[in-house]
Amino acid sequence: MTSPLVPLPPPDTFDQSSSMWVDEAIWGHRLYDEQTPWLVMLEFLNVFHYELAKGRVFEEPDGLNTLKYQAAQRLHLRNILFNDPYLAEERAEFAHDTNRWDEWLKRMKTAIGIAHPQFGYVRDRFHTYDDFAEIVALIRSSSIEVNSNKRWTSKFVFPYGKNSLYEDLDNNASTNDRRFFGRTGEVLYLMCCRAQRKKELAPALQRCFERTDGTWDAVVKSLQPAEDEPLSRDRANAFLPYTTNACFDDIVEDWLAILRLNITGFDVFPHLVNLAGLHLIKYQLTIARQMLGFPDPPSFVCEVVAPRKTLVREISCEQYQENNLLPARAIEAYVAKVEASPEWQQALTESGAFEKCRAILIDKLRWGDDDRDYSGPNDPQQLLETLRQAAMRRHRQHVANIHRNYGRDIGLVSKRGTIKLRYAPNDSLLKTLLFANVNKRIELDDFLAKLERRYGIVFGDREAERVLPKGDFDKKAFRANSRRLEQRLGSLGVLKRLSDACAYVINPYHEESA
Amino acid sequence: MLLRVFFTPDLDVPFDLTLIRYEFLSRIAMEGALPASFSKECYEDLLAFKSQLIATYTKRQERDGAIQGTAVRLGLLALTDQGMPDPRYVEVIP
Repeated sequence: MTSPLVPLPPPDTFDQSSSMWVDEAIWGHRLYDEQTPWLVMLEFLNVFHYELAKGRVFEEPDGLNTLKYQAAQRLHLRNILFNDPYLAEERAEFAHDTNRWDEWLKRMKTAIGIAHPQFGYVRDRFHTYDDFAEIVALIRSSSIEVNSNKRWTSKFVFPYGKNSLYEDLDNNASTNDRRFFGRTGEVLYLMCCRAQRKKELAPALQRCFERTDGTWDAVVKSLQPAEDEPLSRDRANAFLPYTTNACFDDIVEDWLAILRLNITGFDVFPHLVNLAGLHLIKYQLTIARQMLGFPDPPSFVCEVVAPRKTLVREISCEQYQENNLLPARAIEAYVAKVEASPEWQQALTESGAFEKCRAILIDKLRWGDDDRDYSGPNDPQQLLETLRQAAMRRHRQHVANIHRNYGRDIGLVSKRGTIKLRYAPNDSLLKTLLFANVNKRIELDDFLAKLERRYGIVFGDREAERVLPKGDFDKKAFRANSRRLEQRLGSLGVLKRLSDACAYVINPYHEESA
Repeated sequence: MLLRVFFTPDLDVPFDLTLIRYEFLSRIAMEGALPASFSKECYEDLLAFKSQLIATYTKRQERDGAIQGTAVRLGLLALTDQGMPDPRYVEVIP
């Protein structure tokens, strides 16, 4: 953990980047808050399936950060599912099946993003228009973020199989504008590529897909033409700045633990998504702390929601705020590092210092080459200050929100019972953590110690004593917190108290494992 | 009482049908909705049981070799206005 950060050189296409390279240099290209953990998973699966078919999954055969893949677009399917709000109306308006089909086919001639829309094949796949409409309604109802008001090209079918995967597209359905597939799934894929147990992950994920009921993927396929639709152009430029990191190993280890459990069919996906979100948060904060020179990994003091305000809640709120500011502080530290670099210091002493300093920023950070970036006096200090402000402004737009947005999405962060955000895991996340960390059964105290050791998650008094400064620590409050956790786990059916002294956390899915 | 669901003579899923779980199931059967007065534990126990049933069913299919037809037949279950189950079957020819 305390080893200094040794980032990889920027990718070859770095000089084509139109925006500054600060967040990307620290965390990769890129973490993007508007891409929810579910969409991160979908983007990851797009890459996974493409690379799997090419026989190079979780390898980077051409060198680090050279990932290049193509994604499916499945515009016939998407036009039917998400760009046709009038499907049900035909059922009401026309009594005869033939008229319904005719009307629908006429309307689908204006489908977007397809050169010559031909939807006649759909008619051959269903006995009646009613059947077709029922199936469409069913698939729509199970789609990801089903009630979102996102554009139709940013709506996604549940990942039933490879026929249900495709990339996000712009309004015209022509290209991926990186609005909701902001490459965080690609970063996640690269993290897996650099994990020690990556070789075990590919077969485990493959088994997971094989084990799921193929019916649903076949049904989704039935809405697509028989001949293959064209794939996207090459998607490249994903970048992960580190060769190794404990976070990369941790996510793969957790996914393997979940995939080993044989949780039925598609029920495994929410756990994989929760863990992806959690490890991306942990990655962001861990790197920020390393950048700031802190020796310890981040910790998350979690409140098990109490009926009234407790000391644990207060500490959790404070710690949330502290952690939330870490990435911004890392940006400051990065700019300070540029200023302290021998190159910059040398430039300051030479004639034409301003132009030389500006050249350093253009070369290293892709910033400062036009008046929109900087139009102030020829003063290196002023130049650097403007860079700092611009970097912070850009950081606040997206990367700074990862901790909050992902935290809320996976159920780690909550405002429940208060007006401030703090760590208060919900049942879904608690179950995910339990399934990933308990083989058959484990004593509650050992479980709490494991959560602290692996994630920095603190519930009980022993862990709090280790993590918190003496002034903040209150044994009684944390004991009450772990008692509430015990009750919560009991109510979830995953904790048994055999005697007054011994509470066991149990994993009900363990016995099913192969 | 131990409930045991057999898929084949050697493939079964046991479930400890305690009084509370039995009452929980009875209430769902009678009222058609999850009773709020029970702890979530019963619900979670049944979800885990359901999961085990589906996994065992899949195991049996794998072992016996599921019958592969050309068409996919789906049974959709909706409720009538009176709250009665209204099954409907849809066939898809992939």
